[in-house]
Amino acid sequence: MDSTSYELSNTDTEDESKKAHIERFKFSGSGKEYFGIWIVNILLTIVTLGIYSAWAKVRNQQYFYGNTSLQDSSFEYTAKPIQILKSRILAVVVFVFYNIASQTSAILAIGLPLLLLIASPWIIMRSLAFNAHVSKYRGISFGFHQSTWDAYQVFLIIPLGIFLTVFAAIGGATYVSGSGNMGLGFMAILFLLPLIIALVYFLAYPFLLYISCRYVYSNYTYGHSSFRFRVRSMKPFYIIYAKAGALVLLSMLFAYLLFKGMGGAMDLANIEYMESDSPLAFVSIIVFYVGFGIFYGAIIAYLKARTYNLVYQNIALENHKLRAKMRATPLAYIIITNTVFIALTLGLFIPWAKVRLAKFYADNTAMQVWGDLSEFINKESEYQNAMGEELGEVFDVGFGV
Amino acid sequence: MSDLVSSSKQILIEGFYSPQGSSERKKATISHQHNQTFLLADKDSFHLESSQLSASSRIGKSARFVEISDVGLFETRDNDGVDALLRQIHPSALSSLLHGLESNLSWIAAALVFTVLFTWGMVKYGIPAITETIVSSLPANTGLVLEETLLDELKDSLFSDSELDEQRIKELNDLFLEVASNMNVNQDSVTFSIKRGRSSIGANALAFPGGTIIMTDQLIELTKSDDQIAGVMAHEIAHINEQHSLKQLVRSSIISFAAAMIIGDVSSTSATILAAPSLLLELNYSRQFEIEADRAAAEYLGCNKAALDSMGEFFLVMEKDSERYVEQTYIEESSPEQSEKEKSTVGDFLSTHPSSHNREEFFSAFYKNNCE
Repeated sequence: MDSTSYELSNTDTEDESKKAHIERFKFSGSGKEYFGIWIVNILLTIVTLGIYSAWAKVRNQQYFYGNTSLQDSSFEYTAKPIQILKSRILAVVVFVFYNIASQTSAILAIGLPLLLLIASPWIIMRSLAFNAHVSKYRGISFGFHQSTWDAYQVFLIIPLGIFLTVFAAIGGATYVSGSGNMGLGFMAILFLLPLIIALVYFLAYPFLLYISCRYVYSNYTYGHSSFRFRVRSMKPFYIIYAKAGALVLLSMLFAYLLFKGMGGAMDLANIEYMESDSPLAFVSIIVFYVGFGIFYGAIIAYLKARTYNLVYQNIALENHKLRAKMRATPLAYIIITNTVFIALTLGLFIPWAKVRLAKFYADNTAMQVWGDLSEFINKESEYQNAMGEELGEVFDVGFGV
Repeated sequence: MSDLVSSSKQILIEGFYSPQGSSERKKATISHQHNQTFLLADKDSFHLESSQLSASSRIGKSARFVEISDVGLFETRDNDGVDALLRQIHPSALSSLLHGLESNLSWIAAALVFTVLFTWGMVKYGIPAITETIVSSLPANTGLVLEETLLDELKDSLFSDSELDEQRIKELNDLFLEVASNMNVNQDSVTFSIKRGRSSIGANALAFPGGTIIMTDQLIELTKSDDQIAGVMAHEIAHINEQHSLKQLVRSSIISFAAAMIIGDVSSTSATILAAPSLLLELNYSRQFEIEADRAAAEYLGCNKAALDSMGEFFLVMEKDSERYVEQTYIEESSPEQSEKEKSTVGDFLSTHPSSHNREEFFSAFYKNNCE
């Protein structure tokens, strides 16, 4: 079957008639054209000592929105540079203050990140709301239903609860088996901490991803209509991660057998005893890094593509449903070649890389539309400021699938 | 005259129109002639005042939006048409200027050249200069406070008490004082001690930001002459004199801040790719510090050919001995993987220190250049 065609789904409503048809997202930007915009953005940002970066951001976004279309109408990014500039200044002040404070005072060094952690659900929520509010399609704003309590549950209380429960359980178990020695339980947790964090993270991550996707995609609005997220259980997320885990284990086994099979030549332990300029050592290291790079890129691509399909196949707005048909192999190819070209050109390939990725995402996304998307009505939403969004950006707490 | 001509020329912009507050979409045309602007959609026709119109900026060939207050939104790809209309109704220099820059090949080339030169200049002169300024404005005891609060406990995990005999330790202490006073260093600002390095550190010498220099028994055992020891001491004293570890701390804050700002704009690609250049940059600066300290050591040894040669040899001996490195500016675990990288030519690029061969060449070249 042709990978670029989409099927109409008739799974959940019976009365879906012939009126439903597939509309594809299109991205019409070009790397060459975007390079000019990108490099002028950088130049003016440098010349204005960073002030222009707010304008640069808006022009970047407008380029990508304005080149993405659905049913021949393009998306519109309507944030004002001044909004972005104000919040960017605030974020820089916080960042600089944090960096200085954390090097001079131990209390501040711990207290500020803690404060930031407590504020992070709010920041994420504000950021989602701001970005939705300034995104428009046919003159109608997207929006985000801001439920602070839900944000705190999804982004702070549940993840923290899982960790604390596990710690308490381990501490308790050691306390009991250590015949009432409190110190022993504490020590056990301390020693095993990195291991436990990694393990709990991997085991709980698909669940956390599921609840955060559910929170985000069921709170978006377009005009008066709300988006619906139709995944009702964490199971499909776990299946994706289990398959990826199996893939990792198989590859590691394969690599181990390969190294073993090739004997001395590829034995990493032997590299240490080789002459420093030995071409063999050089080649082995290159082969090792290249192999690892491809492997890493492939796993990332697999997770991204599968999660993207799962999430975007299950977003609905009124009768219309999003469709996603992304394959991992071409995504892996794009991610790996983008990375290599960006490294080889010392960053100058970034515009082409971004355009390729945007085109790939658009090409693999569609909407099953009833009629012509003309039934939506604008809703005047309350004023948003960009503060949360920029804080989120500088401290890297954004959300995206 | 020219006003009359241009205003009588008709401007027609084809596009689509959505009525105010609705996602309906109709084919539409904006028409401008004789200072009259109309929006024509299906059977509707709206007479527009220029104050009703505001257009989005022109960015490449992306879609252009003209917001018509009380009427709706007009979308088109005819950017030239919209620009012509704007020139008639409310000329604004800025937005067309930016598009001019972004689409003009020579401007793009100039921007590219400027950006590359600027980046190079920042790396070569800017970041070191900013670091210098910040470090010199810090209170004098910053390094000491840092060492006491952060690094004291780490020392215990790296070293145990020295197993050399007391006589030898006394000699080495005297040698250190001699080197320090010959280098005109205030004896209160440096503290010297000999310790046994645990397996993670082996033959090593470290300079801490507060002025403590620690040499390991294993390193002493590897040396063949006091000249070699004096050379290593001079190298470490130079690290402290030049406040290298403080500078390294400040510099990595600057680099991580710059990276955070840049990543803010390119996160959609892949943020990890930016971690690599900043790491390479860090390592490059670190090698520069080592070269600086080596120069100080060579200058201390002066035009003593035997001493300079033995110093160069010492780096090779160190390398052969344990695969672990000679000394490190402050706490960096010297792992076997690291020495693996350091031995290959590609590894040079990924190393905190210059390669031993380069360092040996440096010491013999130093004699040639300065003493012959």
